[in-house]
Amino acid sequence: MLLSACLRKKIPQQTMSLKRFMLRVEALKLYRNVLRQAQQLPDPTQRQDVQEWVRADFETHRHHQDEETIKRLIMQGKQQLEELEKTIKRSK
Amino acid sequence: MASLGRCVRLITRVRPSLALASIPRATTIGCLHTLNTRECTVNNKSLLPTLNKTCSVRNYSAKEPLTLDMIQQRVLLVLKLYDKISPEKLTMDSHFMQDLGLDSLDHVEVIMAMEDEFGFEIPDGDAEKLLRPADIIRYVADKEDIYD
Repeated sequence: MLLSACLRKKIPQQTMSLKRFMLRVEALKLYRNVLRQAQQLPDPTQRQDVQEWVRADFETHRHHQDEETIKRLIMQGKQQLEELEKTIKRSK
Repeated sequence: MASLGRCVRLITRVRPSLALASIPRATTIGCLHTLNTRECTVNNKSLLPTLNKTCSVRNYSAKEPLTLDMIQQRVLLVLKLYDKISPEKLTMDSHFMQDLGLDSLDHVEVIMAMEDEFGFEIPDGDAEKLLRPADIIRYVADKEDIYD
């Protein structure tokens, strides 16, 4: 699962352009939505796995600075989130 | 729900002697609260010259009462249980990112843990402003209408 997270610094002192800020907000929303979907999984080990997987993916792409890359990764992430939702719905 | 309300009103208007007859149990399925019936003694000497009759009263359960203190304890407990926060550094005013060294993904996780703890959803716009435990406590108290 390829996801992006841009400019997640520990001390956010750098000012960002509005676009970059919006992308950051998008990325965080995506993370949140994935975690919410994961909570609907009945099996706790599966839930744990999904959470670790999401976190690892966000960490791998933390460093990206190029806006196009970031947008593309966020789009891919959203598609994967939709697939996760469908899988969960089907399994119920 | 409306029919249940009418049922309850009818019963409270009924005289205690009549209430000894079988009282219909609630049939509404959509009711989220559990029903308890409580026996109460009615000291109505004018109506009932003989024995003390009892009447049934319906009670509805609700969430346990929250106080500011309890909210504070619960918030701090959840934060202490989070493995990325060291309990020694945790105070009411410690900033998640600057003092405790969390990043924004951790912040999302913390806010979701708070939602689970208190049982209501925190929208994204509000969540990004909650950067200290004191902010979270104040926010929860506002949402639950607790003023003490």
